[in-house]
Amino acid sequence: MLKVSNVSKKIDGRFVLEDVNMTLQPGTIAGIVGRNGVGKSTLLRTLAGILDPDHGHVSFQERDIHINPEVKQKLTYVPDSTEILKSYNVKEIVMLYDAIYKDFDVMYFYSLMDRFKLPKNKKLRTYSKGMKALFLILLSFSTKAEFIILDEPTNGLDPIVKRSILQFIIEEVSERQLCVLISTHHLEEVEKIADVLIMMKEGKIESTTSIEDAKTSYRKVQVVYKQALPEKIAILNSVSILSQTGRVYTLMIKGNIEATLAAMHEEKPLLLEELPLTLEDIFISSLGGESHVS
Amino acid sequence: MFHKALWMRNQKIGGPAVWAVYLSLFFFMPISFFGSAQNLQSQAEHFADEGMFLNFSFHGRELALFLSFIIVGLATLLIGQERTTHSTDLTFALPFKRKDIFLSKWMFGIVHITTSILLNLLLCMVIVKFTILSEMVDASFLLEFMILVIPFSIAIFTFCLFIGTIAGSMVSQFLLSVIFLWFPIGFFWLIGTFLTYHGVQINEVYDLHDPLHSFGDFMSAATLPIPVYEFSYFTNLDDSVSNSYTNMPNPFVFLSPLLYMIITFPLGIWLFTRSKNENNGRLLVFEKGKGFFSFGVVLCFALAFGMAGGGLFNSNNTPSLIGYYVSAGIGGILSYILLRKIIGLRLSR
Repeated sequence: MLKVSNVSKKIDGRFVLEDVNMTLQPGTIAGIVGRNGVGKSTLLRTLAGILDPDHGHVSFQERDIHINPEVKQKLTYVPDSTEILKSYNVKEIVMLYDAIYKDFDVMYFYSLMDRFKLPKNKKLRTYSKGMKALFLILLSFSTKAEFIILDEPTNGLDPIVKRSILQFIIEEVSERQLCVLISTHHLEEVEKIADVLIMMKEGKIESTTSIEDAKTSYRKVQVVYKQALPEKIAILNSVSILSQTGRVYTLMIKGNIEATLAAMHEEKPLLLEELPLTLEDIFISSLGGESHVS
Repeated sequence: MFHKALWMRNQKIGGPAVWAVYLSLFFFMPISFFGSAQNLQSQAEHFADEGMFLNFSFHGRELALFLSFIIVGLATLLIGQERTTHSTDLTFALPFKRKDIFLSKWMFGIVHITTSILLNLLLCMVIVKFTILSEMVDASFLLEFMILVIPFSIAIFTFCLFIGTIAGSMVSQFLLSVIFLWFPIGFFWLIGTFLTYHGVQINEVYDLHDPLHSFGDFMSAATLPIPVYEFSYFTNLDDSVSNSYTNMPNPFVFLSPLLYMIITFPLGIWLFTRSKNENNGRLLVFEKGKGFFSFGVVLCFALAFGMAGGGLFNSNNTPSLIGYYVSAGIGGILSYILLRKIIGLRLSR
């Protein structure tokens, strides 16, 4: 279990992380989403022990990872940069990881390389960006870590490989009961594989919910009134405008769904229909979209 | 605690500089000795009847300069390069204590520097033993050189690693290491010139093999490459005039590497464990020291400009304070502006 308690971090005099708390259980895939610059990568690098928090602490298996980095035998981090091992060839990296991680499974790693058709007798610098990203993910899973942090893992991967790797992550989590924390801007990936959605805003955790709960606590509707959106509806805290074309509004309702829908019906709309909800809609309405009512 | 994985990682990132250490020492010592021996042999064979006096000399200056730069390079590859390329994201995420990571880098450098010096000195001894040099050279000077060069090289490396714990990039670590390695003697000259312009004369000549009795002696002993630079050995085959000598610094000079080690080694560990990796790629890793650092840089630039430009307004060998202060002011302002631009700059790839 990974526990983040009251973690704050200032960079250049500005709070990049502010009083962050979260707990992640084994057997979970958590997706961390947020707009650029909200502190996602800083949080992941703090969890990996690369950055020190100014306040608070991060513990894994009830041991502070900054004081006891040995616990990172079971916690690995895959950065968004694919350049870190580029001067190595595959054999050298395997030898290095075998020396670092006690449980690194060389045979398993080579079998994964075969499965994903990665060439074995080459330097990493000759790989494409996507191949490097894939290589680092496979390397990380072959350490037999129980907690894996992936920062933008699918950048550069083609759709077919992306699909295979997401499937592979799901398999690994269900078989080994490990926990994977993924930071990404590709919300459809989170939607496909994550159990838990962590939304970050301005250095803070805005919400931590299951994907299902997140979807049930939001409703996306399209509404048309004779005139513009009635003031009575526009001032509601639970309503945010996703888009507007003439008198056609696409609205997101967060919380008090039934009461808000009833209020909308009272204003006699020409059209009021529910639309399919995606994580992207939740992301835009929660973390800053085109416009916001109230 | 020794970790094989960290050694492998250091071997990969510091490999080029390690090769450079071995090869440069090989070039400056065994190759140079062998060349001298061949040369002396040839002179002895061609001019044996002409009563020519053969002589042999060895100076530490080229070696001191070259080796210092390579050691700075090694330390820079081991720490600064990781900061510039953000490979710290790999190293600091590993299941090792930061102290162990720093110690592994230090141990890696020390082992290679010491081994390369010992190996090359051994080769030199073999060359002395089996060439014409055996007839004229007392090989014990090589032992004296070893006693001098090993602690000073280790101190230079330790100091440069320490600079790596405060510098945020490869470029800044290299530049700051070179500047601060020569800082004591440089600062002494700057202060000396400042005092001269204000009517106070100080003795700027230093002598490292007499007891350390002047401020200049202390400052040159405190400049790590200088004692190695000053080492020399000379001998000739003229029996009538015994002219062999070894120019070895005073034993007190050995306190200098010792003090450097005592201060910078634990301080390096302490700072490395508190490394602010979010500032990697910048001039400095720590924000707290920025003010003091900036003040020091501006002061040194002002003194340097004063020293360089102060003579512009001199008349009849009378130092002109106006010229000194105008130049110093220009130097100070320029360095302040430049520093403000580069101190927040991120040099990374």
